[in-house]
Amino acid sequence: MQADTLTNFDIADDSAVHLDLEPEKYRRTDGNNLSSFSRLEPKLKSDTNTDIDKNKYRLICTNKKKTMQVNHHQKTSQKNEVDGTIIRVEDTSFQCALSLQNKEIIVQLPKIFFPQDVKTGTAFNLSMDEYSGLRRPVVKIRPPKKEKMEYGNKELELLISELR
Amino acid sequence: MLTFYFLNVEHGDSIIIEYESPSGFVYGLIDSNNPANLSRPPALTKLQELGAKQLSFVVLTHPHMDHYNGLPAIIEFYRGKIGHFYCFPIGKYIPGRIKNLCSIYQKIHNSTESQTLKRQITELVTVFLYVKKYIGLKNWYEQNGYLNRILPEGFDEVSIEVILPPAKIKGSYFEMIKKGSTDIVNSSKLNDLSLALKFIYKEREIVLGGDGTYENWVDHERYCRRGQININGSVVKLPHHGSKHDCQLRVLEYLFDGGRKDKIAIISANGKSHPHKDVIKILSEKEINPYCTNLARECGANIENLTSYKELTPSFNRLLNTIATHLEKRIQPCQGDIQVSINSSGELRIKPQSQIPCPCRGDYDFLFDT
Repeated sequence: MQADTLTNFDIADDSAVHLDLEPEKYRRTDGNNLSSFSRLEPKLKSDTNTDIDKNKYRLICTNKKKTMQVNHHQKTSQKNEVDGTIIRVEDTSFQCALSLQNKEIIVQLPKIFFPQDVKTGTAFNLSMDEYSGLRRPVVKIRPPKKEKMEYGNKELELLISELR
Repeated sequence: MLTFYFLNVEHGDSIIIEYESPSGFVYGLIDSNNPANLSRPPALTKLQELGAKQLSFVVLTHPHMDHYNGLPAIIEFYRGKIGHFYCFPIGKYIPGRIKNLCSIYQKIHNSTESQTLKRQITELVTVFLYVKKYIGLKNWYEQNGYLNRILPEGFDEVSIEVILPPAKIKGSYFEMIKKGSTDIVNSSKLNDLSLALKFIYKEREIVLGGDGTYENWVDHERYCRRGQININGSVVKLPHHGSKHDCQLRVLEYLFDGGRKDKIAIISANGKSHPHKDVIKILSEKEINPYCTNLARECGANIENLTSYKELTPSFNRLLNTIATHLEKRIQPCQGDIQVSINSSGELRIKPQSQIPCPCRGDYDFLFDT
């Protein structure tokens, strides 16, 4: 129950716990207490031992903090966009290679998302635009990354010279 | 006995032809795909399993990755043991044509960052190089025509005809090569170049449709009807993996023999983007028995919901799943590899890798019998 209360308050650090345990802080100096805090006060004071509860809250909050840190870390590494390249032109779609961290995945995207003057090899960025709760894909053409462009060029040159 | 092995190579073609002649077995290969990028492509594994010591012929229908991936490894393995190489029109007899074509591909290769695209281009150039090195220019034939017979060694009782592409397709393609135009790769019309072959054995016609386009089939129909020639396929490897555009009713009616009851359609696709549900519907209506290497969407393949990438946020993953057709793994095999044999009496036998009943073939009809 107490944990739920914490969740509802969205407390993520020890200072917030401290606030809960010191309702005096919320007491107005003019004597007119806010009704919501006055309801909280007797519950905390009468039902529980403050020392024990402090630890209890700390424990809950520490755990919550850790969980939130992990989530936050995941959120920062997860992206709402991906780079890609058109690798094959088809009648109504493009076959595209999307670059993830360590690999390229192949997908088919409808031609309607792309500007007209794109071709095999065109590099683009696919992102998500959100407006009034509606999500839509946004394709932006970008120049290819030079460091990746050079990969394998010499090998192909050798093959072609051998073919000649 | 003439046997065709349609290998399950997801979205692509890899067809082995085995013919038992009086002097022993001879083999041919049409296209190769290697979806898992194995060092030994599926066609090579199958050829070795069959005990093929040499190949009478190899065909490359057109320059798309799902038709040539793994071909260099096969040509290298059978170096000096491949009789003929047949390919789409490329203009190899005109000096400098291959060089020009490779330069176009090199231009695209050097200006892209995609490793997948680079690998595809390198693979194609390697095919050309290995054909030159290990099969020889004199055994390299480029094909086109409506009824152009080819004569690979050993297939004595089998008539093999190239039925697509029409010769008129070559002009604009050769012109683009001559100009060094990269439009050649950017065009969605590369399938127009695709070879299609017809095998006739013991009065049975087997059509291997490559990625032949609707326009080319209609053109073929016009030409052949004028000469009162028909295609009467009892087994047809559907063109372009059962695409909606290229397997329209008119094409299917033209390719299949209307008089036969045992009509078989082979669909070599991953079940994600192809085959199209309308094509399956036409097959059912026309009482043509479909054999799909992988489960089609129409039959319940549910691929979109399976894909999720950790690097992307859940909401972006969901968006991607909505707008994109994922061509990555997680296929759902249906019939798997499909073996079609015609014996010396002309009897047809189908042996799929997985004996999975198919509602589109009427395998569940007994449930409705009263």
